[in-house]
Amino acid sequence: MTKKYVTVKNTGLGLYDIAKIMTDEGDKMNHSTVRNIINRSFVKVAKSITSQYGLNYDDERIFNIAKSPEFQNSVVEILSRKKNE
Amino acid sequence: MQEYKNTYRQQYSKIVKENPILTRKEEIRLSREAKKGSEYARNKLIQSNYRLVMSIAKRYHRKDMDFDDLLQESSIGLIKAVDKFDPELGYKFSTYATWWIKQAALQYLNESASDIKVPTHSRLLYQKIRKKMAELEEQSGKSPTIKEVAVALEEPVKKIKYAMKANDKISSLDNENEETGSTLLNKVSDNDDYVNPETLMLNKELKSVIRKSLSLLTAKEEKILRLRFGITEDITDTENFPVTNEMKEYLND
Repeated sequence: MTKKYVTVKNTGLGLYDIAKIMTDEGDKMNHSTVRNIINRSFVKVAKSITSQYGLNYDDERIFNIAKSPEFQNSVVEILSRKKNE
Repeated sequence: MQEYKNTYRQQYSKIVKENPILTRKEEIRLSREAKKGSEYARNKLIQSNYRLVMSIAKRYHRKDMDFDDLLQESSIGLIKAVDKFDPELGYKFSTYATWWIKQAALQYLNESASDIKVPTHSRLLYQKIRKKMAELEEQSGKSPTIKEVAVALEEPVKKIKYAMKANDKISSLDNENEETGSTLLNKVSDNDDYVNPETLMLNKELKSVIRKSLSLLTAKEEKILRLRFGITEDITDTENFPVTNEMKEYLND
């Protein structure tokens, strides 16, 4: 069975906690929505990167890239530096 | 090879002996004929001036240099001089040819002095810099600064720096250290901190591409990712990056 979830080692909040915070701030959502947004964000970034390199990958291949821990670590690393630069 | 070189040098000496110095009239006559296309006149003019080439080449010759190569390169200067000399201008051929031969010899010296070609003007400037530095050091008793050298030579500091950098000594990566026996290349690759420049460039490029792609995320998506991965600028900034009650307690402790 193909794994559908994006999983990485992290020190942040769980999906339920994030859903609660977002709901409290006015964006009503449950944990599944949070998970979908995370998945979608990585896919969006992966899609943009592959197109910048001129690679015409199908959705399945892009999703495989998006869920790989190496890719997610790179994105997280750069995201964590983004505001400091 | 050595035998060939000896023969070559002897050949030069033989030509010099067989071709005495030309008189002023002969010079003008041969130059005019050479201008009209006479191959004999051109060759005669060249051969009769090999003496001048040998004299200049001897002056520029250094121990670590092949004299025959220098001789041949200087001869190219002579050939250029013969082709460009205008007898109607009134000066002697040797006066004109000397500059061409010197130029060819200096160019050869410059090109053979280092593995990396540095423009002749830069190398000449470097010689002036070294000479001036030695003079200033002798006068003041301390090493002069680049600015002082630049003022003394009336050249911009930038030009002095460039000439010094361009003429700096180079070391081969394959040169073995006499004591340790290791090469510079081994030393560099053994260093744990060493990162292949190509990998570094690819990483940099990848990061730049990811950064560009991250700008496509909406504020909401970015916030969720930050919350999910605990990415905050300031760990105590719980207002913009809320944390769980357990984490709050931990931070307050």
